[in-house]
Amino acid sequence: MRRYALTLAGAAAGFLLLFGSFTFLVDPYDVTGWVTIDGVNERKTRAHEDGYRVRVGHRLLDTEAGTIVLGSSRVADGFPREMPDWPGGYENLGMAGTSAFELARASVIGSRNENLRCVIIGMDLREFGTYPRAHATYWITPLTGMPPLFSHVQTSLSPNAFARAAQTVIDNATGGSDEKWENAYAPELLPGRFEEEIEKRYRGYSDYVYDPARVRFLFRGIDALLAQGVQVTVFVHPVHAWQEEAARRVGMEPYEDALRRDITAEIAARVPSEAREPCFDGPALQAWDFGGYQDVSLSAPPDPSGDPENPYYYVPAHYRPVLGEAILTRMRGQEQEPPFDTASFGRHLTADAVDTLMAEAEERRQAWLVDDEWAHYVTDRFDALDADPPAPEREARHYLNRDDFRQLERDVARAERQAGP
Amino acid sequence: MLFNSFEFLFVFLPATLLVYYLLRHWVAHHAALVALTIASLIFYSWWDIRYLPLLLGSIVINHLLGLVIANHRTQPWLAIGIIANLASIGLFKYADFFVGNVNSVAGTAIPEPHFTLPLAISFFTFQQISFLVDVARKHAKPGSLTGHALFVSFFPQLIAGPIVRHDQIAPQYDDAKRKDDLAENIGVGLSIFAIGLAKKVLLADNMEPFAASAFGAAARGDELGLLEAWTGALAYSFQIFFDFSGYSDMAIGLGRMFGYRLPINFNAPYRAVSVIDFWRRWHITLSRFLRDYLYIPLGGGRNGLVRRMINVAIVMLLGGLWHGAAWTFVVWGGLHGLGLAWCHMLNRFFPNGLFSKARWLSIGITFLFVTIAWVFFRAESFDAAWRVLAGMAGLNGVGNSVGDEPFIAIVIGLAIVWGLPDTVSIFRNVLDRMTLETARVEFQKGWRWSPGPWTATGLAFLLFLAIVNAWTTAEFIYYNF
Repeated sequence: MRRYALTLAGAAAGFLLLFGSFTFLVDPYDVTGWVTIDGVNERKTRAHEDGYRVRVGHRLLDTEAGTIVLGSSRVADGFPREMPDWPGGYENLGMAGTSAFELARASVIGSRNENLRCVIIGMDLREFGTYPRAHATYWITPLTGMPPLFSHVQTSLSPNAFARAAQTVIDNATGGSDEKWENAYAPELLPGRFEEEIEKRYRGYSDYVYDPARVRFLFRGIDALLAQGVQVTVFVHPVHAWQEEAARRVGMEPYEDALRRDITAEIAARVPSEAREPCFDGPALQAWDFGGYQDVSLSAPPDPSGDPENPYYYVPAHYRPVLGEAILTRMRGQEQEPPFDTASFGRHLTADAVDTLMAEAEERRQAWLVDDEWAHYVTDRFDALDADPPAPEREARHYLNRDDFRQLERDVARAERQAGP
Repeated sequence: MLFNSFEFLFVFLPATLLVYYLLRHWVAHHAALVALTIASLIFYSWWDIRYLPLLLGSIVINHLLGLVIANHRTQPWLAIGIIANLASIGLFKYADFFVGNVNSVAGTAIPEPHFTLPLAISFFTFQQISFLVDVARKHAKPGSLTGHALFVSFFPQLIAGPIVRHDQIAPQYDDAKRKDDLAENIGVGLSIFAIGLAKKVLLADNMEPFAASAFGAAARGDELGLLEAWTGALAYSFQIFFDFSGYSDMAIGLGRMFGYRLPINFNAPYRAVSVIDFWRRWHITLSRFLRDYLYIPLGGGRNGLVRRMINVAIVMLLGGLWHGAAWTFVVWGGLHGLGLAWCHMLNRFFPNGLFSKARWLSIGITFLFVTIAWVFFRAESFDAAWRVLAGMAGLNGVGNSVGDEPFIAIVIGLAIVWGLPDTVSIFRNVLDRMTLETARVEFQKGWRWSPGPWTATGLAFLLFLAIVNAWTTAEFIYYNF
């Protein structure tokens, strides 16, 4: 029996040690940077594969920046990586493919960082659909609430991280890389990707279901930040009109309306105390709407040659950092050059304004549909899809479960207790 | 702290084992028990330290009551003790339920107190009641305060059972002279723990999304098609079994690592041939508690069939309510009560079962009944339960495709519960009388554990796989009860 017990415990420990130390040393998500060996792990070719969650989880806890931007790949790609002149420091903490669940958890974790004074959160319907509540790698990040040390252990013992580590070593040894990812925004590919997104979004949105519980969930997470005196600014992304049109053509307009109403209802239900050091004028919790067929999102697609590029968008779903910077400038109330100076670019989203905003967006849409040559082109494409609809992208629907709410509630209540009355 | 969390696996458990055995070897048995008690209290406080005083208060008060009952007289102290225990669980667990129902019936608007449910209150309260009754019946002696504290708080079984009776565990704590076979304790305990962790992490947690998807859709008012409803209900049947029996296996394995024997809690319940048989195999320690401390005091089956049915109904309705403060749990218990009554009646006319020549049919029908009853257990409201049941009845048609994954998961689940032996059968050769005595165990055929190098390597790999997949650290379902 002695030999059996030793073999069992020793083999289990050995498996874990070999597996974990390989991943830890390779550091595929570029978090620790402890060991760098040329030809082995010097190039972190797969650091993006977790959508930056592992890095974001750690940065939320230890960033010294006073302002962070959270959100999906629209934030990760669409906001500047650095803004040296931003008062108190700025950091882009976007996570590709994020969800309301992850954003709520990120808010709770961020509330533990005393340096934070402003959090900006980008959102649209994607975060509130019945998609899986979290990316697979979310669970190995500090976003779950575990201490950073455990997070390193858990990341090291994750099959996903191990696979990325192995791929990183192979890439370094063979000179390979994730070319598809690296070239995703290559100018010559963008016209094709603009084109592809018409059908892709149409199919993707055809089976979309809006889950209002996720709005409640996210704002409960935001309460942890508010309790610490952090100013929270949420905003609806300025996706390109082609994407907005795809959503409307498959009947998602009521969801757009519902999302805005639910956001404003959540804000109206709160009376947060004043922010410690606000970045923007106005209350500690506020919302902006940058969506809805404004001048920027009506811009023409890139020329088929790739030159000229669309100056504001890579693809309909993903905008360029120049637009992210303009969003921040708009929030700060500073004057901007055209086309960001128009009244339609960024409006305060309040309960009283929802009807007006939606009506104005519809007006602009109607005008666009009549006047714009690209609108005619897109309309023809959507008409063809309506006539012969492609199979929708059906996925199992996921809803937040009771444990999700319980854990969040426990963590937020703890943050509120720590903040005191 | 969850058994599948990294802080438990890599810090708490190794440290506690080390301290326990060092103290036992170099200091004294009693010192080791004190250390184990402190570790258990830390384990409990990790969740929410605000409820530690409640646990400590429960330990001290019940120990004092036990001393009074043992040394002076039973009444009124036993009644006071039972009422005090029921009052504490009533206050924390059922106050909202009670006030909500009063408001509904009387049209009042009494505010609900919204107490947070202290972790494990349902389990440790039952253990305390069983302790007081056993002391009054002279089946147990109060012993020392440390022994009592460990009886209640021993971390492997504190949160979700097995519900341990004082006379099962106290003699083990009191046995200062027994010698530890460290290799056997760790070898057997870690092997059982590995299987339990694998059940939880590799099976239950992978069933959860399919169940949550269907029940979540029902909760928000969607109509469920036949496929979605059945895959959701079946996935939940497997999720709750692998989750809870996995937890129980881990508890038994952990207890064994310290040299203590905890009673088994599951024995292949989805192989039950009737509802009666199901409750002999599912949450065995709860069934025993309800039988010994409620059903038999009510009269049991002594006063005729009708009275027996009434007693069964009372026990199951209260058993349902014990699981959660909602009428859906009561209905779940009521359904099982009806099932038990029906089976008792059938037994009078068909002592060998209705399908004695086709055992598989009895197993299938029982599994079907249990799965349907789980719908009320899982659903967040009656509306949601009816939507799932309507979907299962095909009232909404076949519905949308749910993809291949739920079907694959269900086939794997069925293959395991019907094709492989449960943990108790696998380890029958090394489980002791104490562990097995709670169940009238009918062992399944198949693989038996034996301490060989391939078994050690295979289980080590299973443990490794379970640990590296323990990302989600989803809570155990019974943590909520």
